[in-house]
Amino acid sequence: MIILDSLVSAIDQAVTLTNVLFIVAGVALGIFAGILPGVGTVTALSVLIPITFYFPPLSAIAFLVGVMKGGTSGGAIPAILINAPGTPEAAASALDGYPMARRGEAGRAMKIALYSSVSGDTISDVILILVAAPFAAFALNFGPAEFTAAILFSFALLSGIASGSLVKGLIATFLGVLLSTIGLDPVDSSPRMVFGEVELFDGLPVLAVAVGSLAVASVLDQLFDLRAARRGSEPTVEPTFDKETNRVGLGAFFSHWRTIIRSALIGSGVGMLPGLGVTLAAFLGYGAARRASKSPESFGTGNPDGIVATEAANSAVSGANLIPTFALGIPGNIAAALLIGAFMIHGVVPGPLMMQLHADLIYAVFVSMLMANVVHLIIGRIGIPIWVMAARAPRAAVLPVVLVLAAAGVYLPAQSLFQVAVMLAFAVLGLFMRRTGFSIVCMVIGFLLGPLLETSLRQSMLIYKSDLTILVRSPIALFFIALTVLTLALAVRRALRDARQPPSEGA
Amino acid sequence: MSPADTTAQSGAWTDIAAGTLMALAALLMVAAIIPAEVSDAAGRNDISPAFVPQVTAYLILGFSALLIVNGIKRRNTPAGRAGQSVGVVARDVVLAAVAVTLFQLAFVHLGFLIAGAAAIAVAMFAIGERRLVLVVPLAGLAPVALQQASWRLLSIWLP
Repeated sequence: MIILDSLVSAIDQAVTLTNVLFIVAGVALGIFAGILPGVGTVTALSVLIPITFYFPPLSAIAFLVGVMKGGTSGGAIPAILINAPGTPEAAASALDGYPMARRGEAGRAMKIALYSSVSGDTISDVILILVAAPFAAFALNFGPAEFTAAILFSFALLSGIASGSLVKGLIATFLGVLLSTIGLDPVDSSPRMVFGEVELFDGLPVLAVAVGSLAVASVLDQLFDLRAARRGSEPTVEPTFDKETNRVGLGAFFSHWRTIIRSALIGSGVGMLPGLGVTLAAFLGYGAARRASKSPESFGTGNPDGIVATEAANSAVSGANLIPTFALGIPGNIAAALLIGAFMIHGVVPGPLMMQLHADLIYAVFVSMLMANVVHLIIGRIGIPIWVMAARAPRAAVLPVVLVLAAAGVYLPAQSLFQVAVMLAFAVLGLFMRRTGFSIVCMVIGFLLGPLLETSLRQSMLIYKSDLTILVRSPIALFFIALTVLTLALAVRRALRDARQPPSEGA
Repeated sequence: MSPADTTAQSGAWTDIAAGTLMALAALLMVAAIIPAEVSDAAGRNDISPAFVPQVTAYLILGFSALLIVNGIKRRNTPAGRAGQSVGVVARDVVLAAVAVTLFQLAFVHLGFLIAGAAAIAVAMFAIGERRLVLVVPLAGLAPVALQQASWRLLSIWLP
């Protein structure tokens, strides 16, 4: 009832023309970013966050949530049309979407992808709304020791599961933590590794680090790949819009309801755990649908259930990954980590107190998320002919513009060329990490959570008089420490097993 | 994995080289930068400001050593020979470093319009896009459009 009351009172705040326009813009830009070759949701979020500095807090977050939602489904369009997913999470959509397009059902495949994405997203948002407040209330029991243990667990999960290699994941995570210590000490305010540079007193700018290592590094990486490959454009399937062939009735779509619910729950489960990405959810959803199907052999040959499973699962991550973000301040994935940056720009620090201090804003964000799903459905459906044109844009034209857009985006909030320099330095570091197999996501999340880890650890030391056994005496902290050990043990076992297996042909 | 986390498969020699680089950077932090740049004085029951930087640097050093050892062990296996060569990775990273330095210098000294136009044109030429009908309008118009948008919407002039 409290949740319902809060939602109702937030409707006034959220349902305004300005907010709706920001959501429309966010969803449309998100779909474009998902479609445009080489851009994707994370790059779009990284580049757009600095611009939201000038928006009112609710509109800024609603806009970015729109980008997240639109981006996830946008990636399915090039996957269906040209068998080249705009985002990795849409890769499984190509398995059945492209064969459908080849047999003249591109329009139907795109509609199914859109409807599934919106359905999965809505289920996930409802779970977020129901769970976030109780979870945040529980998280109020967390003291510094519990936070320290919870962050260590998220680092273990990130390094052990989200990264391909445990050792490289740990190096990347600790590199992020180390970089986060640059600036004034959080307890005694003494300068650390600032080299006399006043602009470093507040630490490395979060946005410059995120945009550089995520967006610009990704663009540089693709530019080098294009330079090496110099390949021609991919064959495009001309979508047919014949009404009969491409019609998707409500009854026909909801005949997939089992797949929708299964995939939405899988996506929400994956989203709730820090570090597990959208791509994993998409493939888990696809695999589960295939196993549950009476005709698993039809998957990969143009079975609409394959698209439903993938799109419902990958879209369901975006709502659920905000549960640990809102309740603990620990991001569920990199998009949520970027949202933390956006909240901080607007003076809101994600964590258990956020639901108390900024309850109005958070419930208005919840309402905006539900509105964004409706907007997503309308814009996604009406815009299909436009999205088809965007999917044909050459990467050679898109990527260089993203570079310049990133530089402008980082310059604008502080009007600082120093921040542009930091962004460019992190772009080179990001390129090095991508090329050598280090996880940039681990580094960025380590960088974001580093200050919280250090502050919690030092507060624990002060409160418990340097007695670190509190980490195993508090039941909650002990629970997280046990999970940390278990996660690392599983990751080590997996690494040893992989090392013992003979490499496959062509590996 | 998120889109931004699509990392290349790395071979054993790449791991050895990357591990060595990380280890050297961590050593530099532990031996020179942290002692010179971070106060070591701790308050009562508190840890010193140098504690977290030092611990993380030592952890990076230790894990980098492990990466090097793993790389040496698998250098003669088929999987160890997979992935990009160290030379290609080094060449691309150095090229990127030079390119972004030039962009920053151009941004500071020549301004956003010239730096942006040059960046777009050079990047397009570098990846083999030779159609002037595409390169010239994009390089000319995109920075102008961004500058005008930031001025008219946010009242901020991109220098």
